[in-house]
Amino acid sequence: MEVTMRPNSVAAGSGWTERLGRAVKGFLINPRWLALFLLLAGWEALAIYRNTRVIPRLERIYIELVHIISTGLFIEHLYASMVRIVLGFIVAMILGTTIGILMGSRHTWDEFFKDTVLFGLALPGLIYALIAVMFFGLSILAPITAIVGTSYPFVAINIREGVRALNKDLLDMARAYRVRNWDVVRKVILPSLLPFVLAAIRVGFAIAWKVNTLVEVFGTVNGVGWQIRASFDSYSVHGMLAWALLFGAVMLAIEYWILVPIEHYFARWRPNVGQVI
Amino acid sequence: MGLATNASAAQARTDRTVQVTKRLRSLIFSYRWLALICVLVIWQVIALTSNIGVLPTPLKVVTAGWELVSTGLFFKELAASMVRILIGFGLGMLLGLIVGVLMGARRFWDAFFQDLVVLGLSLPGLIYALLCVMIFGLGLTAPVVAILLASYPFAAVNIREGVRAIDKELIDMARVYLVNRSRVIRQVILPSLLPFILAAVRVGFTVAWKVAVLTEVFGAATGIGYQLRYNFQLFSMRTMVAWALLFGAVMLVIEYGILVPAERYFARWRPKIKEVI
Repeated sequence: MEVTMRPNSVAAGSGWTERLGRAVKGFLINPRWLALFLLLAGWEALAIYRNTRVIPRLERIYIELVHIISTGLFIEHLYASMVRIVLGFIVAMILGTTIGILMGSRHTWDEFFKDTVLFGLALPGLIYALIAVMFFGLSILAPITAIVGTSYPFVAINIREGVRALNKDLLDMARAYRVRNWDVVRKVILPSLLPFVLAAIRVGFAIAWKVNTLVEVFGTVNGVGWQIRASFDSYSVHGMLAWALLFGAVMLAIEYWILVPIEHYFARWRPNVGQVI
Repeated sequence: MGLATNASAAQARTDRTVQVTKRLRSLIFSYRWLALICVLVIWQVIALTSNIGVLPTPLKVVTAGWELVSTGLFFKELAASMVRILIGFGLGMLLGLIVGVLMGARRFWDAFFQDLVVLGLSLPGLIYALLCVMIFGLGLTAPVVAILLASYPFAAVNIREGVRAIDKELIDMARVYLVNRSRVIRQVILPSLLPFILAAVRVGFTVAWKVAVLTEVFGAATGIGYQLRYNFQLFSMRTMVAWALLFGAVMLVIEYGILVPAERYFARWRPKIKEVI
């Protein structure tokens, strides 16, 4: 009798159909749906039991969701918010990258900026929001300043780590071979910095949209934060939940479906160090 | 022999004095003071020259702050806030511990809680604050529940990493040697978990006080957040900034003076991994 040896991968099924099947199965047969179901069922039970306006039925929230989307209200205020977020985020990236590069390359700059960065990391966005609105009023500078203030320290520390992680040996080798400066920047420094820049973008963006919402609560006349404030003022829990869920979904989609995959793609050469946040 | 030990003891004392002097010198003659001076100068210039809005000069803020501290008002409101922070933080840690242990120990619970934890990590504190104030009204429940919901995911994530990092071989060895269960928990599991618990405490506390102040801004009649909103509505910038800076200073002292050193002390056996945040 002949004994044939088959490699393990063939026995387990490693073709793309098998892998797709396993991925779908892992997605469907998952305790997370149980958690979601329990959460929704619990909310609905509470809403029926308490029968009060501040715990709306799920149907009420759903109606509000549909209303916001179908009347174009969501797009209108989302656009207003996104303009502020993007502008603030860009300025924060420029400032944070500059400071990060300075901090990473010279110890004196590190000492100089260390406290301001630490302070910026620790101060809650609320303070930035209140001071910015007090100072700039209803102008667009309020959210931009608040975003820059809260976001630039996170960008700076990421870029600083990137600069400090530059391989000095490669730089020395480039200098020994008299490689032109521009080529050194393009082929050694930038690729090495890229994963850190992308991490900075991800963290900076996450901070930016949260602070922007806060500023909009206190001092704007449109935008998602303003809508949330309006819902709060009229005790409309269903309105606030609808806006929060929609906006949160869009922001999380940007973070997890665009920023994180880009970061993982460009950082795949790095050894995996676990990060908690 | 006596002479030799005397000489080496004297050498050790000289070494220590040199070390202490070096550290004192690097603290005094540091660029950090230059940074502080620059910030104060820029602040003063903007306060004096800007016609955009109201920005109090550093001196006015310091005067207002001194008034708050000397009349004892600061400490009264701080106590009110701290009560809420500590209760909410304690409950949040408890919930985070339970969820984290479950998530780290069994893959079922990991998948079950995963979405809730990720959602909890990403949702801005503003939403928790507003929802809880709307549902629970004024009083102690709103801030406590908001802090609980906002901080438990951070604790859970850290505890989960701690549980997953427990050395299974040590547990197996303990089982082979028929070590009784409470000893295993006390002498193997808890020491292994301790650095992660302290990390959870540190991150949880950071989130806790930020969400507490946010909740107080919208729905409280005492506390730091209430004072911030009160002064914001009265346009008394200097008092508002004074409250913010004083409170921020106290929180920073707790975080960097107590929590971070405690974490570092208990984690000193761990290999040093560079952390970005």
